[in-house]
Amino acid sequence: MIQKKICMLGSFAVGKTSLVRRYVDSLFSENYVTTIGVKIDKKVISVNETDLALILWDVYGEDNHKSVLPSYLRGMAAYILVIDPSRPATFESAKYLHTLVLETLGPKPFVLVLNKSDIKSDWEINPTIFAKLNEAALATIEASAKNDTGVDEVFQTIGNSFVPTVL
Amino acid sequence: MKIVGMESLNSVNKNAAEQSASDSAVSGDVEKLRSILVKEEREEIRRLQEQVDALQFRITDEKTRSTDISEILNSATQMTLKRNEIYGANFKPIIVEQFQNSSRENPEIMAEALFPILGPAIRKMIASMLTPDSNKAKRTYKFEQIFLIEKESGLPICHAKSGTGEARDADMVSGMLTAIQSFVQDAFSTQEFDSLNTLQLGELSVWIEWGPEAVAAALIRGVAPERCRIALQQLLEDIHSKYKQQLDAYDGDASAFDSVKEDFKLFMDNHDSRLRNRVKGIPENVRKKLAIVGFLVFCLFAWIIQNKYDESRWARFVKQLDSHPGIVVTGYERRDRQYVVRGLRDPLAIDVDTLLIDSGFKRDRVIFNLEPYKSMQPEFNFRIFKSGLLLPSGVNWDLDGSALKITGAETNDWIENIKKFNDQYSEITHVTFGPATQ
Repeated sequence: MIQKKICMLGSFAVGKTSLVRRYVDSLFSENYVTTIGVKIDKKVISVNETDLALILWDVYGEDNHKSVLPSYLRGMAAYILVIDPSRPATFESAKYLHTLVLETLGPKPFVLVLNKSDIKSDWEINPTIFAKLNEAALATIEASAKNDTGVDEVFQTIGNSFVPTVL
Repeated sequence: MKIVGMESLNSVNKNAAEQSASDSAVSGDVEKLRSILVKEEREEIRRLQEQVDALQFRITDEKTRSTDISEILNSATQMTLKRNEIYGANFKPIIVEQFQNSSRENPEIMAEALFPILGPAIRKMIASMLTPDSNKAKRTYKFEQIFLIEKESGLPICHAKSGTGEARDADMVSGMLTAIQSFVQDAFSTQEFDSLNTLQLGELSVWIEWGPEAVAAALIRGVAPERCRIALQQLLEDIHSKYKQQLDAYDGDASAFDSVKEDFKLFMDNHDSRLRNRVKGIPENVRKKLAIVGFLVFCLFAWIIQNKYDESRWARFVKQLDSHPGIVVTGYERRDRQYVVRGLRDPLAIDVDTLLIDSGFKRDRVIFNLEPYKSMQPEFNFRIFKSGLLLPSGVNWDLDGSALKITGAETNDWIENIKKFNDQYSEITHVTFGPATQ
């Protein structure tokens, strides 16, 4: 089975852990995220009849972004960049983290997630940053861990990027 | 009356004054005389008084008295204890009581006082408990799981567990181990090449060995000896050597590393103290007896082999001895550590001691009972010729069986001598003479 390391990146409380919790049955306590700064989960998906194990690194994020340990990013194959559009500052965080990845590892495929679509009326999208990230991302997906909408699509999109499409 | 009285009084006073003056003069003289007479005694008294004052000060002044006592306290105590053992015994309960009171009232002081002693003592005790190579090394340990983890991503390349026990998902455990390493390294700002080598929780420990591309993490229950860590390092090195290309090209597909699992299982079996202790499980006294029996059997075998070797060597020597011209071996035997050879020996035959030296036997191990005799062997007869006639240079000879052919230029007298000698002493059947071959 092919395994890929996927990092969940985003500012504090954008819903990364909620997305993972909705998607997988966790082995480890979520306390790990706030203690050592990361929690690891696994989800096996099937892409074009190929089993693929996504090893999900839920990396702790703070509003000042500085706490993300670059060493946690090493060896990742792709990442999921999560934004809470109801908090415009999280766009800045996403931009910073995206730049951090570029500087640390070079370009890596990522999916941009606009989370908390259940409170879409509160969204305030930063058009400049959004446009830039949207252009670089594999896909931009609106999701809600609360309503379980768009979650599977996020991880499936990441998985699809690793397995060539069978024509 | 009044006046008379006054006058009388004045007169009396005057007389008294005069008397007083007179007395004073006498007194002064007496004092002067006294001072002359007791001057030395007074000086002595003054000096003594000063000494008394000094002693008084020494006794009453606490600081001075303490200094005085401190100077003699040690020797005084030792002397007292030496003279009277009861004195020391009387002190013990007082000291113990004070010690207990002090500990009860202020344990921090006692803890601080004992810390420099207790720290090393506790460490020593723990070290002796945990050191597997100590005499108490009968404790067991078991390698339960081994992970091979890709260094960068923390993805598991291979995972093996011993037995059928349940193990948590190796993928996630591998990731967490890598994350913990990164966390420790970043949180405590260690050097880039420093790495987390051991995690310990109760009787469980995780050994982590680092290679250029992959990390081996072993979950151990119990306290494994250091030699196991070295073995784990060697195993990781072997994997790096054997799978270098696959490790370089690793991209999440671990199928190329399936055989590593068998290597890990073999390692875990080879380093399971319970399996090792099955042999060690034999009682100590039985093991000692077995060792003694084993040693005796070894000695017996060694003795038998040595004897066989000696016999074989001796047989070769006797055969070689018998084959020499002028020597006939009629029998031989072994007496304790000595060999006895019986037979015949022509006095002109080879010296048996020379043969013995060549054979490697010590002279004192062999007794030769060889009777002298005259050998009839042709080649031996030719030696008689050589020894008896001293064949001169320029004469060539060729012995063919019992026929001797001599060629060369010599006088007729010499030829006649040879014929005569041959008739008398030798068994050479034919002696022919030819011209010089040159």
